[in-house]
Amino acid sequence: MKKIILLLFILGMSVNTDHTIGAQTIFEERAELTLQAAAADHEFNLYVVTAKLLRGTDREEALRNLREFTNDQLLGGMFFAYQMIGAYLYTHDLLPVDLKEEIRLAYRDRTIYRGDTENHWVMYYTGIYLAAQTWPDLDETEWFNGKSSPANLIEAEGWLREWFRITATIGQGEFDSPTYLMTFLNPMLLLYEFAEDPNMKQTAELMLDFLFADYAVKNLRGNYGGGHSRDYPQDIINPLTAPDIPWSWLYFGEPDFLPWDNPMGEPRHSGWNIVFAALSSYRLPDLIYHIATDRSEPYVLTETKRTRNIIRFAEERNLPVYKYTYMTEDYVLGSLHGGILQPIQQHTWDVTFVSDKPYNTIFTLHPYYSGMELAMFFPEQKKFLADEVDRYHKVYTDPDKWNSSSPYERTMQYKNAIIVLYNIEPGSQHPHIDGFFPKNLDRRVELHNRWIVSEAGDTYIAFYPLRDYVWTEGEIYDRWRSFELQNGVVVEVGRKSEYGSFDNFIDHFSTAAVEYEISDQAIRVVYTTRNNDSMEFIYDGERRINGKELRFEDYGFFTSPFLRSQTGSRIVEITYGEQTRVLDFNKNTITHTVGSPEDDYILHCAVLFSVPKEASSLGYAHPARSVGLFRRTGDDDWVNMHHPNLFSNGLDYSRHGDTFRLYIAGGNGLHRSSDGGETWKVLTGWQTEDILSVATHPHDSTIVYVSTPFGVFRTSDDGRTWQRKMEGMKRWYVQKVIIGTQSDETLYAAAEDDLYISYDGGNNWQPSDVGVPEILFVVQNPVDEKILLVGTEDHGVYVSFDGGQTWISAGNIPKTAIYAVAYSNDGQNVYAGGYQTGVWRSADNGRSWEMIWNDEDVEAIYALTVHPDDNQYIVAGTNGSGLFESFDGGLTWQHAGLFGAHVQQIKFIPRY
Amino acid sequence: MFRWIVIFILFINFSLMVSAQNETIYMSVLSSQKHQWGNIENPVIGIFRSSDAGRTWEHIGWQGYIRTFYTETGPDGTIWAGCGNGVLRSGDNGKSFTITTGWEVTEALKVRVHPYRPEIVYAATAYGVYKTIDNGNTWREMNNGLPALPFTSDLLIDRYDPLKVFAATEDGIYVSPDGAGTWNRAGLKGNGIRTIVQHPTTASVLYVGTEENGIYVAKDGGLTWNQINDGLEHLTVYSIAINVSNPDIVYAGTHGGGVYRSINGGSTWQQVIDGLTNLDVHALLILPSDSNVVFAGTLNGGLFISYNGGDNWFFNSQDGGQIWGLSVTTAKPE
Repeated sequence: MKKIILLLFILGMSVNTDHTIGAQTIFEERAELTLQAAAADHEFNLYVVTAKLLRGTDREEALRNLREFTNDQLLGGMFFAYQMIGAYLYTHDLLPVDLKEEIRLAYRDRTIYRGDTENHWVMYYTGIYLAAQTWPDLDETEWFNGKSSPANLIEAEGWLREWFRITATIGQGEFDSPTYLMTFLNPMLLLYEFAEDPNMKQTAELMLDFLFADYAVKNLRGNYGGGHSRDYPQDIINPLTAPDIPWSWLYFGEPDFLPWDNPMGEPRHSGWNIVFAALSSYRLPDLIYHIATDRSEPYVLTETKRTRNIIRFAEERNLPVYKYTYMTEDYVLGSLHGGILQPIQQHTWDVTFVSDKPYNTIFTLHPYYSGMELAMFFPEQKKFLADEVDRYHKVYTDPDKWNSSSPYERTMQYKNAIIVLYNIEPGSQHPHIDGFFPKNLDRRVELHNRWIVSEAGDTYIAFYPLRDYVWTEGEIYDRWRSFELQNGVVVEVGRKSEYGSFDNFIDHFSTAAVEYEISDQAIRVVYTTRNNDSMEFIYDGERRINGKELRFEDYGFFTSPFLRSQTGSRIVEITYGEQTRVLDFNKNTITHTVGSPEDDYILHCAVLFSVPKEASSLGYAHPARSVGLFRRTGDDDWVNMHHPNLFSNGLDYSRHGDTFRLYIAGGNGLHRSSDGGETWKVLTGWQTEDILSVATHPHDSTIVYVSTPFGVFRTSDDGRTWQRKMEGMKRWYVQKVIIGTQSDETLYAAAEDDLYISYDGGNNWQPSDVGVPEILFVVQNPVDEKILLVGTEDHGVYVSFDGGQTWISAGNIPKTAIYAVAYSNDGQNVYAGGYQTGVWRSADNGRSWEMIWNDEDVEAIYALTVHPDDNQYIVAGTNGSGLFESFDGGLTWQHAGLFGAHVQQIKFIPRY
Repeated sequence: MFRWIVIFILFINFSLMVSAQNETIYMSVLSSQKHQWGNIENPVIGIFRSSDAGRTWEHIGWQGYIRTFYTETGPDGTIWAGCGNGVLRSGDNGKSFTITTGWEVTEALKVRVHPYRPEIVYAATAYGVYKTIDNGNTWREMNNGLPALPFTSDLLIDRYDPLKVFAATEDGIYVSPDGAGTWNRAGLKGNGIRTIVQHPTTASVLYVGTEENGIYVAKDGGLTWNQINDGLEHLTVYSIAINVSNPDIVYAGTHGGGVYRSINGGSTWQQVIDGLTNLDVHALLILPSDSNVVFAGTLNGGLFISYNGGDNWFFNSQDGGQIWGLSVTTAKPE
């Protein structure tokens, strides 16, 4: 209830605040405008017919046109299949009986071609599904395909569910297409509106949220930024004329013009295909609207999409497509990783800038074509295909074309910079590289050192060609062309707000250097951006950012502040501000919460020492001035909850009735607070002075275990008395004690000589015979109780898969001191770190490891934890450099405060 | 002028003759150069048949735009067609069609009906091999052992041992001993196979046409393949036809080179293109009742006919049409 009230409160706020007009206001106004305009128009299409009938305008004309459409073969198979049933379902109460019958008969008498692309099939099967649902009792003689209505319904649902599954698992093949977006949105809107099966309607809503979120996060004031699977040249060079513009206008309120009147440049498509949307009861979730329009903070979005179905000349049907987008208030720079990812209409990269002028984009391409490329995707004979496709897509074989997928193109992007390399095989079609530069740039200057710098409003673009080139002047654009086959460009984009003026930008690039080598063996570029990020890129070789290898697998399904998902998880988390919307395609559920998952927990850490260095000179804020138990209150803000010099080794919490208790494993005993840290009490006596770790019983708050240099102690009476529990242990020093997941009586103790296990609450211990001494840490897989990992002083990590009976040395992690090991809550990933190791990750319970982060300023990792509700959110504590955190599973890290602190333990503690 | 009259007379005699033979030719027109999206004047394409040896054609398959790759008639007269939308069946001699496949089957490039059991049909598709054993009521994917991307251009059911099936894939020939249940490599790895045909009388002799390497022959049932390209200057071979009454006479339809003819079982080839104005020959058919009559279906040039075994060709029909498939049957639907 609290959450619902909060949500209403936020929506109410939005409507009343000028700069954040809510999605609903935008939509209602524009939907009404759309329907008015469509009803008044006379274009021959089913959208106008629908609007006229519903608005009671020109009824006779509308009926005449609708009747004509039942026979009109111009509306190709799959387009007819869904548009006709859509028009029918919206208007059937207003139709004469004979026309209704004519529409039904059209599904018997017309050949409805299914097509051979993803959008074709979505339209076809949506149309068949809804028609079969509308006329459920027809036998096979009443359908064009000789199947009964029930058979058609089953087939259509079967494929639609397959499409939902593959799309939620590995993405769309026709992803991010300004032209074809509507061919996915419209069918899903119809399913949402008219599917009688609540399950289907629900999935349609998930798909709509998914498609809109995917679209929103790449939208810059109506420009569909970055790489596209399928795009047409006129839209590539003039983004605000693309067919998705009416959709951006209707749902996001941008760009601000009437899409059927006067889009920027010449309108190529009328806006009428948003009529079904304007009629729909689907409402865009407010957070997606904000994701589309809030450009106040720059952000990086990485994604994984897929190729469309490859039918031959490859090893896999759907290869992954890795996509990178950098979004700012002024421009968007985005790219696909390169190669043939889509036939014919691929748009690999661009920088598109906010402008009041058309042609607001710069990009390069290699205008490749081949029968082989086409035959990868189409079943006709490859020698025949190039001619054939040229008939339909006349630009395909044009050497001057502005869309292309080339097998000889690769990209590497990092934030505002991109390196695009070409290694064109001699004899390839159209052996040159073209670059698009709009004529209407404010300035374009070629500097003495090869950089071509362009001013476009508040966006500044620096373009460095590796090889010689020529310009061809045109009316709309100048064509940059290079005939050098081993080649590349480096592009770095800046903003007026960063440089102050274009002259400053010129100054910077007058001395900026690009290091590169081109030989028969390799094309290699090393470039350091103005922000001092180093990019190293070898064609078909490594991509390195600041020395670290870029791994596309780390891109995730979505990784960004707004959209997060792991490839294959079929769960997409959409976040904006306090709102989170989780689309779970496994369960077919949408969960909307206000208050991010992080907010259900508060990060705490135990600090043992603090060495406050000159933090600010190293770029870190808020050095730790004290030691003790810290509670996070903001990004870099921490509050010490105890007096400022309590050496703290660990922490834990428990609930005692309605009371929330915090424990500190302190240098002078176990401390407890029952009032949120206001007051503390020492529970232990002289014999247990130095507490190394604390573990509270999960179900009985009177039981607490501690480990000390003198063994494990237990209290069963709420801390009044303590018993030393060492039966079976050979040595005293126990660094860490934890309670197992399988029973409350199972304990693991990381001791000086071995890992000990107790099955009776510590009364008896058995050595588990790890085989190496000085166990520093123990962790159990949260979903598989049999899997245990220990960190050791000199031998790295050991792992047991049988509950501690047998141990093996765990993979390729350094055989050195490992102080911290932490599982993600799903048990999928385990992280470890120690002395001069950086942070390592294993996705197979320690069998193999990869280093995911290392910072030369960090000597040792002393503590690690993963957020209980967010497996991508990892926090690492160091010995003297404070805390670092990653929100993307370890791909990128930020400092999280307490510089100088030696952090012994980190824990997310439920809000209390 | 005289020549034309002669041909005309031949034509009439000939068609009278063949109608007596009960031969029906099926032609599959995938598309047409004259076909454009959104053009109401589009030529009629799809499935055509002729019962008078090509003199007249009747359109039986689908009113609108549909991509038909190949049509074949079973021994019971059931018509099967491989199409973009899947595999079509007509049990009423073409009056009505049913798409027998669901969403799983698409881009069906060839259909092959079991020579003796009409309820068993195979489909070669861009996504591999599918099979029905119940007259198309249910279909099963049969890709066990085929490459990861099992694009299959053609299938051959051994007439003498119908459990033995050959698949022409993008990566060589595969053979199945058990009706497509499992597949094993049968050579020509790395070759895109476009067509596979069996000698009419000697079961162990097989011919294949390849994308890049011309024609191969196996005389041991598909174990060893020998290239037989002597005289063949165009090495992309889409179709092969063998004269049933004189199996030494073999025709090959090529890309760019029109029709080649061999009179010695493929040992040597000779180009025969007089009058053939389109040289991308995708489909070939020899009329069983008169082996001098040969049809050549071209890509974007329509259908051509020769009355003298390929010496001269005449345009027949489907101007601008993409003729993907030709087949002939003497079966009559019940």
